[in-house]
Amino acid sequence: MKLLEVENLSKSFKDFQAVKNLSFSVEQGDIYGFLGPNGAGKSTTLRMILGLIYPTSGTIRFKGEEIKPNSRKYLSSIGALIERPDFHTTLSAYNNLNIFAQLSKIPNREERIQEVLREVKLDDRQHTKVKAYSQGMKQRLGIAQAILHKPDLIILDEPSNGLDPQGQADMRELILRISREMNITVIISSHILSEIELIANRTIIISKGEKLREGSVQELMEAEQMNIEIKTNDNEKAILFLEAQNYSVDLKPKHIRVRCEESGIPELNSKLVQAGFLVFEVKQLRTLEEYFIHLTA
Amino acid sequence: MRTLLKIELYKILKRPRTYIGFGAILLIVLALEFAFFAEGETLIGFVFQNLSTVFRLEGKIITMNFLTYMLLNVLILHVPILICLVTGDIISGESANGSLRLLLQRPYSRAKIYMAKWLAGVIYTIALVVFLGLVSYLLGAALFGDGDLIVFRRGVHVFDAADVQWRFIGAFGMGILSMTVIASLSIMISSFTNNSIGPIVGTIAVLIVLNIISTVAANVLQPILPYIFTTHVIKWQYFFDTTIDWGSIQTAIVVQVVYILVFTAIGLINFKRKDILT
Amino acid sequence: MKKFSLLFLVCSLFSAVGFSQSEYADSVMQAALKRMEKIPTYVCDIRVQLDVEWINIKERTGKVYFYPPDSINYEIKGFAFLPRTGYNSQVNAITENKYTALHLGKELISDVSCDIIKIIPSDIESEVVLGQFWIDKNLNIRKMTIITKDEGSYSILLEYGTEKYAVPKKVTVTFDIKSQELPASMTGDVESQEDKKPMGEKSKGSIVIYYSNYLFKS
Repeated sequence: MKLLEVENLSKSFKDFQAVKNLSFSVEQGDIYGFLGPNGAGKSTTLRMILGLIYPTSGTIRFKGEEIKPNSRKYLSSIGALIERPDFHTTLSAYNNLNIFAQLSKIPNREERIQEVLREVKLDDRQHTKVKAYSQGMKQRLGIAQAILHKPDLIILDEPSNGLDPQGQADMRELILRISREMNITVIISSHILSEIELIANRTIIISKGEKLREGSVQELMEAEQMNIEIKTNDNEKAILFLEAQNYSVDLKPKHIRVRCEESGIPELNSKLVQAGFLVFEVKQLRTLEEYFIHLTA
Repeated sequence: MRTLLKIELYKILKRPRTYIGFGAILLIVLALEFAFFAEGETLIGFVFQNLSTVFRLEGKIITMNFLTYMLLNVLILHVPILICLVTGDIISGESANGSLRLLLQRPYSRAKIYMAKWLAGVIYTIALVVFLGLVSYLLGAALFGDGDLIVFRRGVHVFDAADVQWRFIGAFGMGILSMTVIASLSIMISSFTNNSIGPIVGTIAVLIVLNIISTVAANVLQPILPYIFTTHVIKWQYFFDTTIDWGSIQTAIVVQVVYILVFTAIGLINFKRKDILT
Repeated sequence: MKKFSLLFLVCSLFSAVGFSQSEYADSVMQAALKRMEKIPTYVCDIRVQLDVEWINIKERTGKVYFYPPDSINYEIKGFAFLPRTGYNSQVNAITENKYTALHLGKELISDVSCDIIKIIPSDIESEVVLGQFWIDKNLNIRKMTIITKDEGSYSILLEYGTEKYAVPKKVTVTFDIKSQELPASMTGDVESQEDKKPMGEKSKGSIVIYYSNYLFKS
């Protein structure tokens, strides 16, 4: 079921157009990646979904119902962490969550707050003032306030921003757990493309306010050529052979880099073997990052 | 709405700057009342110089009522500044620190959120003015006791102690109304900016400029003076006339209520329409 | 010679008359003073009403305690504007030093015929420049007008009841007073700049005190 549908969404500010006729949809159960370079319009789009910014044109539907400028009720089914997590720093994590719990009119408030704090592993620091928290702790608290009211959809804008590799790994694990165990659909916008690659099942890539590609990560990566690294017994001769076969090749210190679609790898390997080369290694260098850079360049 | 208001009041109570206003008022009251306690006769000597050449002045001059009346004059400039410190920051402060974003992600209309913030700001304003009155009155009672009130306002008015309470209620009521106008103005400006200091400075600047214009260009601006809200900040003094000018008080109330409505409407409309970019 | 003698006779006659007028005035004054001296310690109820254009104050009630020769203590509910000194003190202030008394005839005060006695203090440094008293046949001072060097002039009108001592039932003190205007920075009344009256403008004011329920301590 389509949880969120965005159709021809546009937003113009005074001197530029941030989002141009953007359309995409998010299915229930998705972990939906939202990719784009800085200034692509990701934050603007997510803020429009949340009603923080008003669209210039286009429609947004949530659970089949159109979100109008003054619609607010649908927000009880959405949680979000947009950009940095900003809390009242003079209050503790508990007190901050208590405020949101009261606003969301959550039944069994106390129980739910403790549950969520345990989920994000902040239960032992819940009474510490937020100003004493590390960036990672603040991000986790941000997730906590997003899931506090058991929404159907959470929107995470750069959730791993400022986190070290371990922090990023913890964040990924948390998001996956939220998606699987709590049955919450996730939209995640990130610059850390490997993160999207690891957890998202569907992705949209936007640039300068426009959609470039949308689909499952696998589909995106399979649709285009990629770099293959090959190690043979004689790389220099192999390059000449492959150039003669009209492959685009590049000699690196210890291997050859060849541009080829995934489906063409067996054929490439076969040609080299038949030509008498000993092939020691064939490696796909295709990452979403590479794809993303190529697409948005 | 009740939940929103409760949370806004909680946020105000949790901010250290809320207590600056109460602290400042306490200091002003303490300073003035102890100054009068120590040297009251000298301080008022100049005032009563002329009268004491003609009359024998019998009875207490410095009473709790006298001190409370004197302290009401801080309503003119000092209390507005203390109010702005909190109300000017009520939207823009959250906008600056990003917590406004989190609030607006909740299923509450922007109108409700704005009105909850406005109400919380007004409650704070009322609390500050009532605090001024209570502290003045109670400390004055402890130091000087009850007695008649002597007011130098277009002559000399002596009010019996029993005739003073309702006047103070009226005066403080007018004071609360005037300060609510200022709170509404600063909340309105707060909805337009994303930093804390702008609305505070902006509101104080408006007050100072309007006060100066009203004083310097009083003759030229005579026809429109009744419609400038700062003109009415001192209308609480009308409760201390022997014959009260109810007409002027009524005008002052109407004009100030209109300003409250206009400022609140502008702020509300802007808040409803603005894109939250922080 | 005849003319000179006639002139001398006439002058002597006039000075004799004048001298006896002054004597008469002094004797009336002294008699009135003696009557006043007989007033014993007393307490009585008073009501005080002030009439000054720019002072608003309701009637005040209380008691006054008199201790001869001229000491007064008030016990007033609330704040009150009272005459600076009692009428007894006013009289004593003029008559306790050397003076010249002149009789200026008679006049009706509150339908009572009174001798008009003018008192001129002999001491040129005296604060009081001139005093005039209207004294009735019962030796009650009905009215006095005092002109001072620095404190302007004031009149005191006294009405009597049926007390055996020379104590009034009503005293009206009329005086000159300068209007009082404090700067707006002190009063906070910035609006008053619009219709400011000239400061220090002199006007007349009065205090009326009603006395009743005298209790004398003989």
